[in-house]
Amino acid sequence: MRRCCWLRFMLLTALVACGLGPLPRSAEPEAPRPAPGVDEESESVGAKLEAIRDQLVGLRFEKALDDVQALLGLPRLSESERVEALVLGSQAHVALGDLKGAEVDYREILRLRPAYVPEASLTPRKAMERFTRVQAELVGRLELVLDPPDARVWIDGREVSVGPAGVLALLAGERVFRAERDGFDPFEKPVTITPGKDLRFELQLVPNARTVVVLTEPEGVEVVLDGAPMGVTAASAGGSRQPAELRIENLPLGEHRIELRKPCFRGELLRDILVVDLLDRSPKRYGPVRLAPVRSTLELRGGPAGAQVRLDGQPAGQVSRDPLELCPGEHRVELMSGARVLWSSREQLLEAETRVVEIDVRPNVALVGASAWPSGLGALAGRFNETTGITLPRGSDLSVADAWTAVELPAGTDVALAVVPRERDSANPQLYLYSPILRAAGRLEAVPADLDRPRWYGSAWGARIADSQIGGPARVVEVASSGPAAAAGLRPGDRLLSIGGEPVAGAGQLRAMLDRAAPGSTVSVRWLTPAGETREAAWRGARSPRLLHGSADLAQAALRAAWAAADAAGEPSQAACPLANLALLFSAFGQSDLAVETWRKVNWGERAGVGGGTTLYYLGRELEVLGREGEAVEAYRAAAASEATAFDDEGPPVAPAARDRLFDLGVTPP
Amino acid sequence: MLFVLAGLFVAGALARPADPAGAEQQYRVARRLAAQGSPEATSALGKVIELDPAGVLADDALIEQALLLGIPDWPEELGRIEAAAEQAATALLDRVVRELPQHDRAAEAVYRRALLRLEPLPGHDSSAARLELIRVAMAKRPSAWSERARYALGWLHEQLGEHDRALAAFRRVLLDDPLGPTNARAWAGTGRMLLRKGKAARAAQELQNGVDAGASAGILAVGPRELAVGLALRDAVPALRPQALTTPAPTIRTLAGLAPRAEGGVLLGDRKSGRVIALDEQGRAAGEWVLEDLQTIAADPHGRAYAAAGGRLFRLGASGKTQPLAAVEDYAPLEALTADGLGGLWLVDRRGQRVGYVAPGAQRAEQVWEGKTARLAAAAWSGSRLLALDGRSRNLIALDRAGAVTDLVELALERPTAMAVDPAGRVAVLDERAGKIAWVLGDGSRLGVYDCASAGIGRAVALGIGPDGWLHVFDAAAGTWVRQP
Repeated sequence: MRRCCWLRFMLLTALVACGLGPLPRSAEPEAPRPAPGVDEESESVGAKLEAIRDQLVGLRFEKALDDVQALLGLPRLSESERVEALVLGSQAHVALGDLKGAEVDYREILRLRPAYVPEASLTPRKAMERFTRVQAELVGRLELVLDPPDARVWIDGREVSVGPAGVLALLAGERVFRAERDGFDPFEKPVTITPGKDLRFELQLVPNARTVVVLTEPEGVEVVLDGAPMGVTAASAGGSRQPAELRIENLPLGEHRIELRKPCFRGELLRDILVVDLLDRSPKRYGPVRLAPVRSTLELRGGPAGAQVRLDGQPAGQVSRDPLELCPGEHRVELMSGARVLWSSREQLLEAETRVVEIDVRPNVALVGASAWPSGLGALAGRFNETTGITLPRGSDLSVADAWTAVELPAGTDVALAVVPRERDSANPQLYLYSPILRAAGRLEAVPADLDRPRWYGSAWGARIADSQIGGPARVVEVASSGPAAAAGLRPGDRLLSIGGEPVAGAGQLRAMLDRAAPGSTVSVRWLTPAGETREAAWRGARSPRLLHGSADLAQAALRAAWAAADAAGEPSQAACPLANLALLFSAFGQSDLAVETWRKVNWGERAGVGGGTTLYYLGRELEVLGREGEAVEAYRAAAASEATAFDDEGPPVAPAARDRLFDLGVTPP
Repeated sequence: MLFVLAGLFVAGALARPADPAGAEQQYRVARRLAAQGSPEATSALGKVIELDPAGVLADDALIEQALLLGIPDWPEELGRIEAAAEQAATALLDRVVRELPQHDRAAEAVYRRALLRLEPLPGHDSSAARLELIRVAMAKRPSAWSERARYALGWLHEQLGEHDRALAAFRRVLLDDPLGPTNARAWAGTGRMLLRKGKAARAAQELQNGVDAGASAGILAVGPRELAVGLALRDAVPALRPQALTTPAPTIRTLAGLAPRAEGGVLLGDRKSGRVIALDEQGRAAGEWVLEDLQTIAADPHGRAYAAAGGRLFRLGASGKTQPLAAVEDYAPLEALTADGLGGLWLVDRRGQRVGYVAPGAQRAEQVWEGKTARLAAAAWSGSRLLALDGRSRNLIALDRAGAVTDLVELALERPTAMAVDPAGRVAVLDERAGKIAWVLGDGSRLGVYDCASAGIGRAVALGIGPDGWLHVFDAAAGTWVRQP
C-alpha cells in the first residue's frame, strides 16, 4: 500500500510537469506532418492528447490507456503525435505497474525517436532499467567530429541536428550518413550502428569555394562580380577610418573578374584566380582598393540670367558664369524658369572633359505616339525640347482641340504632335498638331513652309527707298537724320547698287535683302551718287522689334506661338517683342481675352517706333472685340496721340488707324 | 375641315420641293460653264436658284450671276459697267441681302451692292453706299469683306476729298489685315494721301510698298510713286529732270482738249474732225472715238474719259464706244469740263459765269455757282474741290460741292486758258499768251514757272497732268504732244 502510494505520488508529479509544458522535443527533427486538409483532425488529436493528460492527472490510468490505444489507431497520426501518445501510454503503464506494457511503448518510441530518454528523476528505477535495456537493444551512438563543425548532417535522408557534443543516437543497423556545407563538397557514406555501442566518426569536408571580402576607399562602391552586381561596400564596424567592405560568401574557386564602380570615381577592375587553402579557411581579402575621384566640367553659355539649372532632375542652382563640376557619364541638363523647361539636353561627359554648351531657349514639344520626329519633319529634331513616348489616345478626333484633354501632356508643353498610323499605309502616318497655347488643333496636311525660328527683331536702316521709272531702281528718297543710313554716308538721290556684294535690282528686292540681315547687323553697301560717283560703306542697322502678322496656318502659328512663349519665359527682360507677337497670334485665333492679358504684359519701355502706342492700338482692338468699348476708347485715344508705329520701327504710324477706330465708335479723335 | 385639308394637299403638290442635291450638281455645271466663258452660265446659275431657292448655294448662284454681268471687285473698277447690267446685278444682290441675309456670302453681296451704288450711273447714291460699306466693315463677325469694305470707305473718303479720313481708313486696313488682299491697295492709298499732304518721300516709300505688294499698275501706285520720287528728289537728281518728249500729232487740226490716260499716253480731241484719238506712250494710235460737234474732253482721276459733243456729255468706253450721259443744255458750248473721282462732271458755261455739276448718273447738270462778273477760263478737280481760273480777275478760286467760293490767290498771268492738278494737289496754269505754265499749290501759294519756250514749245494751247505728275502740253504751233516729267 505504501509502495502504491509512492508510485501514485511520483506519477502525479510527472504528469503535472507534463501538463505544464509540452513533451520535451526529441533531438530529431519533426517528421513530416500528414497531408494538408487534416488540420481539424490534428486539432482534435491535440485535444485528445490533452484529455489523456488530464486523465493521468486525475489518476484515471485505465481510461487513459484506452484513449491512447484509440488514438494510436487513428490514421494520419503524425510522428510527434504518435510519439507523444506512446510516451503518455508508457507513463500510464508505469503508473499501473505494467512495466511490460511500458517496455513495448519504449520500443515503439525508440524506433521513432532513438534519442528519446525518459526523465530519470521522474521515472521509477525499475521502469528506467527496462528502458535502458530496451535502449541497449535498439540504439547505438555515433560520435561525430566534423570539420567544419557547422556542417549539416542527414541520416537516411533525414536531416538531424547534431548537438554540441557531436553525439547522435541512432537505431542500430545500416545507416546512410551525409554531410553538407556551403563552400564544401558534400560527403555521403553508409555506416553500421551497433546496438549499445559508440561509433566515432571524424570527417573533414573538402572546400570548393571561398568567402572573399572586397575592401574599398571610399565606401559605397558597387561591386560587380563576373558581370553580376553583388552590392556596395559599406563602412566596416571598425570605424570610419577603416576601408569599407563587401563580403561575398563562398565564391566558387576559379577565375573571377571584379569590377568596382562608383559615380564620380574612376572604376577599377580586379582579376584573380581564387584558390583555397585547407589550412587557412579565412576569407580572401581584396584591397583596400582606392578609387580615384574623377570630374568633368560643364560650362553653360548664353542662358538667361536667373534661370535655374537642373541636373538629372535635381536643382543645381542658377545659371552663372561658373562652370559646373560633374561626374563623367550621361547627364540630363535642364534650364528652368519656374516649372517651365527652357532648354534641355542630354550630355555624355567624358572623364576630365570640359564641355561648353550654348544655351538656346527652345519650346517644349511633345511627340505623341512616336519616339522620334516623323519623316518630313526631321529638320525639327534638335530644335526643341522634346518629350517622347506619350501614349496616343484611342478613337479620338485629334483635329479637335477638346480631344487633346485625353492626352497626358507634360506641363509646359508648347506644341504637341501626334503621329497616328494609317491602317493601309503605315509608312505615312497621319499627323495632328495641337497648340495648348492657342487652344487649337488640326490635321497637319503638309510640312510648314517656314520651320525657322521666328525673328522677333530686325533692323531699321534709316532710309526710305523707292524705284523710279526714269530715276532708276532703288533710289534713296529720304534719310533719317542721325540714322543708320546717314551714318553710312547715304544721301537722298543715291542709288543703291549692291548689298553685301549682291546686286540690287529694285527696292522690293533690297528690302528683302535687308530683312534677311541679322538684327542690328552690318552690311556692306555700294551706291551711286547723283553726281555719278560710286561709293561703298558699312551700313549698320538699328535693332528694331518686328511684329509678325497673319499666320492663319495652324502649324505656322503654333510654332510661332511656341517660340514666343519660350522666348518670353527665357529672357523676361526682352519679353516685350515675343509677347506682342504672341498677343497678335491670340488675336488671329480669336482668343481676345488672352490677347488682352498678353498685351497688358508687354512693356516696351521708352522707345521710338514700336512702343506703348502700338500696344494700346492692338489692346484697344481686342477690348473692342470683347465689348469693352469704354476701355477701348481710352486705349485708342492714347494710341491716336502717340507717334508709335506698327510692324517695326519704320512701319506705318498707328495714330491714323486709332483715329479711324475712334470715328467708328462715335468719338472725336484727339 | 375636309376642304382645308384638300387645299393644303393641293398647295403642297403645287409647291416645288427644294432639291439641294440637284442644286449642288447644277451649281457645278454652272461654274464650269462660267469658267469656260459660256453664255449659258447665267441661265445655269438661275436654275440653281430654281432648284433650291433658299439653299446653301442660292447666294452663291445669285452673286455668280451678278459677277457674270461684269460688276466691280474694287472701287477703282467703277465706271466700266453699263446701266442695264448694273440694274440687273443690283437686283440679284438685293435678293441675297433681302432674302438670304444669313447666308455666308451675304456680306459680300452688301459690299458689292454698295460698289454698284457708287457707279456713275442712274441710281448712284454715295450716302447709301457709305452706310452699307460701314455696315460690312463694322460687322460683329468680321469677314474678308470687312477689310474690303473698310478699304472702299477709305477710297470713298479720298474721292470726296476727305483725305485725313481716307488716310486713317487705309492705315487701319494696313494694320488690321497686313497680309490680306487689300494690303497692296491700302499701301497705295496711304501713299497717295501722303503725297497729298506733301510728304513726298514717305509717300514714295509707301507707294513702293504697294507696288511690291502687288498693287495694280498705273494710277494706283506706280504713277503716284513716280511723282513722289520726282518731288522728293528732283532737285537732287538730274536724271529726274530729263528733256521733254515731243510726239507729232498731225491729225489734230483744231484741238478740242487734251487728257492724259491712266495707262500712259494721252487723249487728244480734234474739233474739226469730231474725233478723239488715244495715243500710247510711244505716240502710236491706241483708240479713236467719233463724236459730232466735239467741244472738249476730260479725264477723271481714275483715267475714265469724257467728252462734250453736240450738247451732250459722253463717257468714252472701249475704242469707238461712247455712252451718252447728261445733256449739257444751256451750258453749251462748254468753256471747261472736268471730272471728279466719283464720276461727277463739272461744267463751265461758254461765258465762264456759271458752274454746273452733273452728279454721277444724273441726266442733267445742276447749277452750283454763278458769277455775273466772272469769266472762268479753266477748271480742274483738285481732289477735294473744284479749282477754277477767273480770266478776268486772274484769280484762282476754289469751289466746294455746295457752291461756296474761296479766292485763293491772284495770278499775274496774261491770258490763262487751261489748268490741271497733279495727284499731289499742285496746280499748273497755262498762260497761253505768255507761253508759260505757272505752278501753285492748292492753297494758292506759288511754286514756280515753267517756260514753254525753253522746252521748245511754240504755242501751248492745252495742258494736262498724268497720274505720274508728268505735264502734257499740246503745241498748236508744231502740232505736237509734249511731255515733260
